[in-house]
Amino acid sequence: MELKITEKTSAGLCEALFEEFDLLRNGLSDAHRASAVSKLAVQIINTKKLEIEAASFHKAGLRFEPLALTASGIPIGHHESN
Amino acid sequence: MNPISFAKETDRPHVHGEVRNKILSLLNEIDAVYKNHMRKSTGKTCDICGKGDTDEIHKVKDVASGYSNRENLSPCLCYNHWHGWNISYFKLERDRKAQLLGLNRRSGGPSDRLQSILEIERTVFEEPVLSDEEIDLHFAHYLAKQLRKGAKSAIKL
Repeated sequence: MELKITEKTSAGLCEALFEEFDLLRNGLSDAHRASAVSKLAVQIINTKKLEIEAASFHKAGLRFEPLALTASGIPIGHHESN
Repeated sequence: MNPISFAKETDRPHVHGEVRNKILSLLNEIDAVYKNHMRKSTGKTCDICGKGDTDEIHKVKDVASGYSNRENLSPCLCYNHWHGWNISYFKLERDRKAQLLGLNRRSGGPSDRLQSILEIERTVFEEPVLSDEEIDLHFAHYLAKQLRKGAKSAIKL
């Protein structure tokens, strides 16, 4: 099977989803795979939507502070004792 | 008075009868040409469900909402999917317009909401409120939901 590379744009994502519709209609894919593809697509879309929202805030003048992580990471589950 | 209402009038048939009959026969001819054209299949199928034209109203639309400025990239949609996408697209567009006007469509009573809808409808936006990227992304979301729906119904069967 030829390796298909998706164009990494929103239009490319639409193309990939259309291809999945075609595969499903022609019996070359199954419902579980289609469900997984749709869930993955929604995750990608939500990430992209967040990026667009962040870009609009940035355009409006809001500056974001980068999240500083320590080399050892952030301890979870207990407070740092003084 | 326009030609259609003139043709439908019945007064003084001895004066206008001949002209009226001529207009009515031309109208019938136009109607027949129109219906003949509209009943002709586009030969296109829906990109989502693969269905073709069913009748003159439910023809496959080759330009979806939001794609009028780039027709070559527009998907072909059957009436049901075209209608579903329209609702989704216009909701997004109206939300964006409300955001640009500083209105909150979700708050207040029914009259407040009606006022904000009226204000949105009255405002003329010189530039499109949604970018092509946003429309593509929203359409991808719509497609993903349709795919999920299709997969769910296939699993149930």
